[in-house]
Amino acid sequence: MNIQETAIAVLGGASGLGAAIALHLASQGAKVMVIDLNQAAATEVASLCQGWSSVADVRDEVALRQAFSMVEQHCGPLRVVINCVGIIHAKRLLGKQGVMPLAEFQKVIDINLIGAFNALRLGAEAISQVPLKSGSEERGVIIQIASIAAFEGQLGQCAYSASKGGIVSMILPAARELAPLGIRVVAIAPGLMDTPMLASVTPEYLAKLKASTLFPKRLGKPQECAQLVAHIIENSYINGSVIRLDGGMRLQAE
Amino acid sequence: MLIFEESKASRKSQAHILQGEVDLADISQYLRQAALELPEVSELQVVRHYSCLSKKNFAIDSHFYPLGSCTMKYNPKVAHRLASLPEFLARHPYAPLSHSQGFMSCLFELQNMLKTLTGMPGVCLTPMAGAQGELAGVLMIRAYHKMRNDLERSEMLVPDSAHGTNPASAVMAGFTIREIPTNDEGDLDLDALRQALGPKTAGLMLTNPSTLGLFERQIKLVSELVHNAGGLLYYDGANLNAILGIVRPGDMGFDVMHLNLHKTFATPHGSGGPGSGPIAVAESLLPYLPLPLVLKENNQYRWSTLKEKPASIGQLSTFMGNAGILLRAYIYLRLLGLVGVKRVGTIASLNAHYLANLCRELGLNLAYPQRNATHEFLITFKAQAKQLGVTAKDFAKRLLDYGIHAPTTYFPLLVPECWLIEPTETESKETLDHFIAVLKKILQEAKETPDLLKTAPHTLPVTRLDEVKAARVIDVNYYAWGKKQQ
Repeated sequence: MNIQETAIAVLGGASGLGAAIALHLASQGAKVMVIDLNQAAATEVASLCQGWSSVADVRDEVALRQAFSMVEQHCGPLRVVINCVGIIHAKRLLGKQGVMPLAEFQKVIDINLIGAFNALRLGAEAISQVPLKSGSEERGVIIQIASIAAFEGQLGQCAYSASKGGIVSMILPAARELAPLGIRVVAIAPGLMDTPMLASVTPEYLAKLKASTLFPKRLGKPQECAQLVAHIIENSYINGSVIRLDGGMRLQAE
Repeated sequence: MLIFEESKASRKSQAHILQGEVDLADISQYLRQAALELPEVSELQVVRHYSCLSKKNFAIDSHFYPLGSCTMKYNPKVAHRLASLPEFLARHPYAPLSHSQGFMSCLFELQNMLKTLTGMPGVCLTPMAGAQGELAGVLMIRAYHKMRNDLERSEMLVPDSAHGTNPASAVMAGFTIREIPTNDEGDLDLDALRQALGPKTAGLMLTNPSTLGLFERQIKLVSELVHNAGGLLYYDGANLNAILGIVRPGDMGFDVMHLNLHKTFATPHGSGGPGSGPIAVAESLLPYLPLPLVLKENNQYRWSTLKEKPASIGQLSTFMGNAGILLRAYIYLRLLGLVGVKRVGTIASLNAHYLANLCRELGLNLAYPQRNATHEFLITFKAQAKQLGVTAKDFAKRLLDYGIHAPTTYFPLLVPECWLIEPTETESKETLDHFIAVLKKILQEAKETPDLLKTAPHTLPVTRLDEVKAARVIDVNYYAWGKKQQ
């Protein structure tokens, strides 16, 4: 599928990977709607993209449906939905402070997993309305950002890993269900990317993480994730799978 | 008398022709060949003509004007003066934002003041009149339901005491109207409301205080019922003067409202002059507000754009509505402060209450004697019409002879032979007492010489016009008039 002139919704597009993806796709000629909770930041990214912004919580059915219908109204038929919404959480299930409060686990699942599913189902609903272009059987693609923590979660990553693992597990059944509609479903499992999510990590630990990367020995650039997103959009044969983007790194226990 | 009728061929005033400043030779090819059909009169005739015309006006500046539901109050000249500062007047709408920060800060602060006054988190200043604000509000209700895929909600509920603009706006937005009756005490009939509410209900449009001059006592319950049915509550801000600084529509449970800045906030009301009908909304309707809003970022003010508010119902006016009226409202609110605003509401109600009690003492019938007046109240001449054959209209016409503008007559339609009286907060006790003295005299006349009332007014240039025709078939065209004369 061409990126040029295609209407794309980037959820969580106001910062981090989402912002990089929005900017990259806009530079390729996409019409981008940045959807985020942070209105000011979303507006700023959108103006850099010469695109649109809309405020919505990824878990909010009404707001999300509204945001997608805004894409239709202002950018044309929605063909690509990219969900980059996610929060980080690090706490042992049984630590020195006692057991992890259930509410914390629930919150991570709520935003990272249930939000992702909400984006998936409403995105599918919106994309399924798009008429097929002549000579093409493809309507669009939904891309989820998972994490390599889905496969090798570290100490204290029960909640985060479970949420990302849930995304990984839903990709294939979703792709199977949406295949008859011409909608692909793909996930990216990034390794350690240079985004605000890593802000809480100490420099020492960061050095250790970099060292455990095979090659190149550095953090991944958000731009590299954006390039992969662009490739997934353009390459119609990628479907139903999770692509690691991690410089060959495998997370260690701690 | 039109100025054209005074015209005499070749009579003119030379005083204003610029000598030597314009070289006519240069533009001779562009000069008009045929004569302009302008009146040919002397300067004195012009001055005299317009001075006489101005005296025919019946205005708040010259007369007591207790026109119910219209809030004909005095508007401080200082608001006009400050809004007319050359820095405001000379500002071009396309001027760079960096040159307009002062103006923008006024509008930004006005947005916040109106949020405080209404108890609602969002305000858009652009609608150019109350009716446009209403339309915007109803369109937002429509957008709200549409976004929820709630496409069956096609009915707008409107009480039978509503302003006529309410159903009109709702119909323009594509809704059908369902009327809700008022009960004997002047409140909304809750049983009828319960019956009307359902999956088709888009919302309820309410004026509180209502046009009956009564505060809807069950408003909390009404709002609960409508919300439980999935509808939204629209507040018609036309009667805001009564509750200024005392209660807030947002706290009563309303979702969207308009304000008439040209009634309550220092701009004279009426005659189709420039108005302003900002709208305020609850959290749920924020995404749909019209454009543009004034935003503040990093100590800079700017307009919001469609690209960041994609769900907006769009732009209602060029630029940002009637900027001058907005400035007047801003200045008025800055002058009063919250304490002063509350005094406006309090004294408006006190004046109405005082006048209502004096009317009662005169032997006039209050339409709802068991209820307290808000900022206005209803009396009915039903008894006088029956006993003396003198109608509310006759009383109103006779009042004009005494130099007092008639109250609103025959509105709302629920009450027969009624007057809706709104004294406003700017009238003194002496004026109110004078009004009562005149009424007393007219009541006497009604008994002794009823024909005096039936043929009134006796002192005005025009007497009894066909009021419907006067409003609907407006003929202000000289050529049309000239043809009629031939």
